[in-house]
Amino acid sequence: MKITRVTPRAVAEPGGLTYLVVRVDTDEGVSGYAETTAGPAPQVTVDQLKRELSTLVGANPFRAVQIDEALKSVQASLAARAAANVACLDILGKATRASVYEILGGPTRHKVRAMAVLGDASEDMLRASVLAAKQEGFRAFSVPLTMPSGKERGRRFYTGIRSTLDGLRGAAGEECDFVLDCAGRTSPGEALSIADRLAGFHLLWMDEPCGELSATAQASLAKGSAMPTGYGRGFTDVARFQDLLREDAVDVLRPALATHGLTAVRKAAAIAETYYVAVAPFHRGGPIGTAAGVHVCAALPNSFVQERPFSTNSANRQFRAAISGWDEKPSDGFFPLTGRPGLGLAVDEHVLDAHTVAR
Amino acid sequence: MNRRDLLKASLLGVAAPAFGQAPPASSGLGCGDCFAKEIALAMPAAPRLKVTGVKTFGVTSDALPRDRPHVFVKIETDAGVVGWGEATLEGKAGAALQAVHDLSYAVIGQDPMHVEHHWQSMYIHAFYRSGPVLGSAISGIDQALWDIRGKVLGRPVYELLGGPIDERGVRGYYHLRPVLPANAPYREQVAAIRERAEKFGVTAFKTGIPGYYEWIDTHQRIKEAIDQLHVLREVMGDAIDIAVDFHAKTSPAVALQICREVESLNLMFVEEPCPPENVQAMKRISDRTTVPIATGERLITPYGCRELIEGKVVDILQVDVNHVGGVSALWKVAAMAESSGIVMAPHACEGPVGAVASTHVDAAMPNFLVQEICSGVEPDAKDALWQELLGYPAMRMVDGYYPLPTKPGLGIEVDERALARHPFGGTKPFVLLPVHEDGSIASP
Repeated sequence: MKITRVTPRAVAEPGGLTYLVVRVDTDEGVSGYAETTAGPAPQVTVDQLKRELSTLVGANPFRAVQIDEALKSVQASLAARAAANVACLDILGKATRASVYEILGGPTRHKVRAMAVLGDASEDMLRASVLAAKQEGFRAFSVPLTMPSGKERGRRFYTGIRSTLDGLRGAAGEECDFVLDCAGRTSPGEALSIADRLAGFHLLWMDEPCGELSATAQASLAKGSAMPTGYGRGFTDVARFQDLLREDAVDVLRPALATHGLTAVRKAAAIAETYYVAVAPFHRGGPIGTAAGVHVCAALPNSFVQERPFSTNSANRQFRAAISGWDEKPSDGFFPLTGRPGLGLAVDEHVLDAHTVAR
Repeated sequence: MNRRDLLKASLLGVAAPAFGQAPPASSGLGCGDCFAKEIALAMPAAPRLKVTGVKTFGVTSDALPRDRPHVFVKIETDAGVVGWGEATLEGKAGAALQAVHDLSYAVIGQDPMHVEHHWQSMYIHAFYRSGPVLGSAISGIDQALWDIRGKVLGRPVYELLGGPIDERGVRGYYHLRPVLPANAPYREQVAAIRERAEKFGVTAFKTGIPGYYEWIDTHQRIKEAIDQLHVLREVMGDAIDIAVDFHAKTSPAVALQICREVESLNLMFVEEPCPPENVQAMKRISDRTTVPIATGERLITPYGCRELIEGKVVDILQVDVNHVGGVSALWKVAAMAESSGIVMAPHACEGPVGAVASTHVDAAMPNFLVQEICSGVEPDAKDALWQELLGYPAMRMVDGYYPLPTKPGLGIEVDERALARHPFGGTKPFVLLPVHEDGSIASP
């Protein structure tokens, strides 16, 4: 089998979320799909991926590692390498009539825990989003930390976080779990104070409690509290995860699917396994990325949850289901495994065409 | 419902379809009182096929080292697809054979495609984790499951791992075995081996160091080892890679003296310059010499490799697909090593099934260096036995590479009639049981 064409394009959801969809065609009529980030200038990213991925034409899509080594040798972008990896696995799965999680050695479970990523909003809107997501089948929610506009913190900042989370759990029920997404905006000291204030709440974990600091600084929360911490959405190399693990700095690895693809996430997970550390792939894009995340989580022994962006906008939800042929709905907190070949999606090119913003 | 209840509920959900009834609830009173034990074996998704049997074959032959009867594992399925693996464990053949049967509960009746799930079950449910006997048994079963996975999907195992990276196959090395009569002088032996290496395209060899060593040793013994390695490089020339196996015969104190005085030879690596239990001792050596240090053949599971990788103690890891935990574990160790700039030179001194399985994983490793096989540049009686068992000259290099099988799975067919011609003759100890001149125990 040979790759005959690679087609990246940027698509925009009705709500504005934009991401890249990459289609890889072969001479045997099997096509694979992948998704990656659009970046701040989607047309620039599309042009770059076109250039980088054109080198795949003529390659055997079953040689995912060989292809990645070739892309790495020409300093191709991480987005290109991640997309090539996922699309090749999709093709291999379809060609062998196996789900991607089966190709990867799974399943290790028959369903994958799901988490709804909620957007920035007022407390009332957050509560409405949690309830809507729960209605859709989620039992775990990633809640953004709202930071004061200035430098002032004060006790009210910390008590407010606790109050918001208590309110959300009160509304959603004791069976619901939360991640506090700090998005790298807190300092290590602030993160420690928040962790202290949240004692007994049992967050799943605090996500990205501080930004791209040294591993020692990033470890300060883990060393100073019992609060589980998640890191890694911005890491561009698996080796960074190994550094954090060596520092005892992380409880949940958060490799971004759009940056790493599936094989590298699997490698990060293999490193984490020997530290008894879980993996929850970071994903803030579309349904093809969600599907890829569900597949890798289904294959890993130490995955915990796969997140996806949640929107109360019904047009968004309809769009995502239309382009992928999958409604991304969990059942009682878990994504079911479909068992369909490859990523198990039925991508609708017509809907993609209608929402393409760069090609 | 709290998180513990959530977990419990999720497990209950798995159990009911598999066993037809809810499992007994945990009282939560006793140590290890957990209902999950049997539930976790169940994966309710409709299986493609089911494991119906796990068989073992011990193979004893004069062509093999006496401690190394081959232990093969055959997994049968209701679809007629069978998988082969190897659980050979030097000096513990009987224990490995029995351990495979002890673990068969984890896969019988299960879908063989779920290899990671079964690996976790065999390792975690064993309670007493790791150890070479358990590791070898897991390895044999894991390889057989991968063989089945490849056959069901119609692809070689290396393709399921994303490989091969190099279409020529997997680069290998032979051991420095005599090709002239045993009493021929060392220089002449090496020259004859070099001549054959050039003829066959072999680019790397491994040798040992002479004799046995105490933890502090004499000028004469240390100098003998150093001089021999210098002669080896001189006669072998600069184009061929040379690895040297200290075989854990030396202490850090002795190994360091030898390593420092052979640095100019640019060896490919020195292997096991001290025993493997003490990682800090190994680090003491690697910190003080420029010779690349290799170890790993006695390490079991990725957990057993973590400290070496974390501390960047070695340059090369040599885990063995027959002990570390099969294809699944070898791939994981390579992934762990890759992020630390450690390259892989997997060990293989048992039988041909595991050796071939190792080449499948090698083919998909970006950080692969070289694959061992305990054979010489000239085929011998063991190679003839392997040809009899597998129907082709398994693990014989062509122009310095082991060719990759092209058939699905591991790409090999084991001849059971040939196995029957070499029935298991019982467990035998290691080939050498050396003592020092004062009668104290020496490391072989």
